[in-house]
Amino acid sequence: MSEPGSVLKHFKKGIEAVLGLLLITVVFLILTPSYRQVSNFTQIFAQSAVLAIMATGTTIVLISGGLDLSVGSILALCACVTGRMLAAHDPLWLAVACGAGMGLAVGFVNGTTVVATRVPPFIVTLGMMMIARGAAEMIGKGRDMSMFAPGFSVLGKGWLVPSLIALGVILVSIFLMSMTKLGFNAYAIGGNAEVARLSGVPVNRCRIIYYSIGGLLAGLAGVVETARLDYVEPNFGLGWELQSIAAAVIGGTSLFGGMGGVGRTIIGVLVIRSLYAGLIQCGVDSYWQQVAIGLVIIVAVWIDTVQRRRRT
Amino acid sequence: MELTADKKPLVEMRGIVKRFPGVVALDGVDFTLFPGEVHVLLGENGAGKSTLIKVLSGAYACDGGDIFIRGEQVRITSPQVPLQKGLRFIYQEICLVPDLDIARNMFLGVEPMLVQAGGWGLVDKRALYGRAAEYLKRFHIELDPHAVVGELSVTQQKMVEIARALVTDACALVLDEPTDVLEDRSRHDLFEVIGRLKREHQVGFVYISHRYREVHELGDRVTILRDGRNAGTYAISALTLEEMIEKMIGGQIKKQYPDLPAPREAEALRVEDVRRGNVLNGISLTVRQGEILGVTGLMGAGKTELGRAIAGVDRMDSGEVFVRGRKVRCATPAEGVRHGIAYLTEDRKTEGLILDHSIRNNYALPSIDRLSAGGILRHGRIDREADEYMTKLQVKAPSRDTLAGQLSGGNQQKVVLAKWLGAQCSVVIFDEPTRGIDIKGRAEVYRIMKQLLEQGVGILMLTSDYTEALEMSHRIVVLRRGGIKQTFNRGEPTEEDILRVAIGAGE
Repeated sequence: MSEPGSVLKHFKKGIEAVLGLLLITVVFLILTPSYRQVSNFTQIFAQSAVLAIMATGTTIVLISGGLDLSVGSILALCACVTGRMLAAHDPLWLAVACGAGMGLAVGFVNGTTVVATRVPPFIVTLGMMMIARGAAEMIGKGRDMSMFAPGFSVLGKGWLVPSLIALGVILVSIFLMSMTKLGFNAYAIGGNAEVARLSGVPVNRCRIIYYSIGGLLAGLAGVVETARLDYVEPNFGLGWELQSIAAAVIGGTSLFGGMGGVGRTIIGVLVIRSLYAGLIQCGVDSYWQQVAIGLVIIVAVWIDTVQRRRRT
Repeated sequence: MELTADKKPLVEMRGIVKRFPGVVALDGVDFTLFPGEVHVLLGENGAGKSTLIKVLSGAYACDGGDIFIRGEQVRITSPQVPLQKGLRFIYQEICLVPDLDIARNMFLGVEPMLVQAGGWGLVDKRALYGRAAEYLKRFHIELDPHAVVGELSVTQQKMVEIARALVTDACALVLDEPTDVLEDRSRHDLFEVIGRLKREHQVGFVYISHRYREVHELGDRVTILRDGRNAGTYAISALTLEEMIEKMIGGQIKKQYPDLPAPREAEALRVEDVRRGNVLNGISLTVRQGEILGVTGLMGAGKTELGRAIAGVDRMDSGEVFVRGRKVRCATPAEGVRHGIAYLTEDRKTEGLILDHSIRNNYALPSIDRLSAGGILRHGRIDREADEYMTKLQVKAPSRDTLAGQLSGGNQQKVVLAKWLGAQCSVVIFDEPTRGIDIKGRAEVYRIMKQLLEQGVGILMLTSDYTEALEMSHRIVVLRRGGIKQTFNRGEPTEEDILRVAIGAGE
C-alpha cells in the first residue's frame, strides 16, 4: 500500500515478492544442477532487462489508474523502425532516437485518445495494440533486418549492458515516482481522479504524460531487444503487455491505481523470468510453463489481497 | 414508556463489551427496543453508536454481553443471523441496484417463484409486481413498482429501501443517519411513513441521527451513549431539546457558534452575471475579505452549481469572476486553485479525500506546487506542515501516515480543511461544511472558519441548514431556481423568513 514517501518504505512493502523470488530460486537450485551455473543467472538477467524496461512504464500507467495493452506491439513497431533504419545504414544515433521516439509518439496518441474521447483505456490500447502490430508488419515484412553494425549491438551486449540500461530506467523511474510532483500526481489520480481534479491537479495533461512514458519505455525496450538479438521480426513482444502487467501486479501494484511502486515491479519481472528459466531447465514443456506462470500470478495477487484486507 | 411497558422487547442487548486494540469502544452497554417505538441512539462521534449497531448487525463480534431478539438469546456469528431474526439495517448510503426497477429491488433474493427446484427457478413476474404494488400501497408509498430505481429521487430511494426491508417480515429497522441526504420536505414524508409503520404495524425503529431537533420530534425514547458507556435511557417527551443535548455531551452546551469578526473593506470575490444552462440564471455577488456570505435555498436551487461554476469545476456559459479585484478565468479546478479559489465539496468521501492515501498526501495535494521546487517534492516540508496542521486542527489519528479512510467523519472533514488551509487560497467555498458532523466537530469547523476570516479570506458558504446560515454569515443570499431572490443582512431575517423566500411563498 505504498505511496510516494521514503524509498525505504518501498522496499519494506515489497517483502513478500522478494521472499517469493528467493523461494523460487532456492527450489530450482535444489532441483536442477544447470540452474546453479553462473550462465543461468546472466541469462535470466539479460532476458529480464528488456521486460523490466517495458514493465516499468506499464507500472507507472497502472499507478495512475490507467492501463496499456499496446506496449508489446509498440515494442515490435519500434524494433522494426530501428531495424529498417539500421539496415538502410542510417546513423546509429538516429535509428535509436527514431525507435524510442516512435514509442513516445504512440504513447502520446494513446494518452490523448483516452483523455479526449473518454473511451476506456482498455479499449483504446487494445485498438492500438492491433494498429501498432499491423504497422510493425508493414514496416518489417519480408525484409532482412539482421547483423547490425557492431556499434549498435553494444546496446544489447551480453547481460551487463541491458541490465545496466534497465537499472538506469528503474532508478530514474523510482525517483520520478517518489520524489517528483509528476509522480505524486500519478498516485493521486490513480487513487481518486475526481478528488485530484478538484484539488487542482491537471489530470488530463498528467495522464497523457504517463501514457507517453509507457510508450517511450516500450520503444526503448524494442531498441534494446533489437540490439540484444541482432535481428528484428514483427512478432517481437507478442504477449509482453500481459507479462508486464503480471510483473507489476506480482510486485504489488494495484490494477485499480493509486498504489504500488516501480521498484517492486523488477521483483515481479525476476519472478516470471526465473520461473520460466527453471521450468525449462527442469524439462517442463512450454504448455505447462504457461499454466505455472498463470497460477503464480493468481496466488501472488491473492496473497496481496488477503494482506490488504487484514490491514483495513 | 407506559405504552411499551406491557410489551415484550424486540431486541435486548445486555452489558455489551467491544474492545479494539488500545480502546474499549463499548463498555457494558444496555439497549432495549420495544415494538412500535422509535428509539433514538444518541452520542457524539466516537461515542460508540456505530459500534453498537455493528455488533447487532454482525459486522463486529462482541467481546462480552448477551443479545436477545424477541426474547430468544442469540449469538450473532454472522450478518445472516440478525436478518433471519427479522432485523433490517438501512445505512446512510443508498444500497439498491440502480438499474433495476422498484419491484425487483424490493424482492431481490426473495423473488416469488413460478417453478422452483433447489436454488433454481423462474421468477413469477405477475406476483412480483402485484406484491410490490400491494406493499407500497400498504405503507402509503406512492410509487410505481415498474419505476427504475436509478431515476428516483434520493428520498424515494430511501422509501424503497424501507419497503424492501419490510417485505420480508421485518420486526425492527435500524436507520443510520437516514435523513442526512434528504431535504426538509422529503424528511416529513419519511417521518410519516415511519409513524404509520410503528402505529399500524408495530415495527420497532432504532434511529441514529445528528439532527437533534428532528429526533426530538420523531423519537419515543432515547438512549444516550458517552465514551462507550450508557449514559441513560429516557422518554423523549420528558426532556427538552437542550436537556437532551446536554446529557449527550455531558455538561452545558458550550457556545457553538463563534462571534464573527467584522469584515474588511476590500473585496475577496466578485462574480458578475454567472449563467449556466437553466440552473444558474445570472447570479452576481460580492464577498469581502474576512466575510462569510451564506448562500442558502432548497435542494436544486443552484447552491452547489454556483460553487462549482465559480471554482472552475463546471463550465459557466457566461459571467465574470474577480479574485481580490483581479479578473480571472477558471475553466478547470486547477486554474481555480491557482487563482486562489478553494472549493470544499459536500461529499467528503468521494470528492474530498483519497481514502486509500495517507493524511499527509491528502494534505499536500492542492499545495503541491508550493510544496515542490522545480518539480521535485520537498518531503521534509510536507511532513512538517502535515504534522503542524494535524496539531492545529486537532485531527485525531495515530500519525500523518494514517489512511484518510480510517478516520471518523469529523476528522475527515478536518483533513479536508487542513488540505485547503494549506493551499492558502484567498477565497474558500464551503459546500455544506458541517453535514454529518456532530456538535463538537461542528464547533471546531466554525472555529477554523473564523480563523480564516481573521486571515482575510473571503468565505462563500453554501448551506441548506438555515440555522447555520443565520448564525455563521455576515450576509445571507437566498437562491431560488438558479437566481438570487433576496439578500439579508446578519440578524435581519428569521428562519421562517428564509424558508418563505426559498420556497417562493407569495409568488
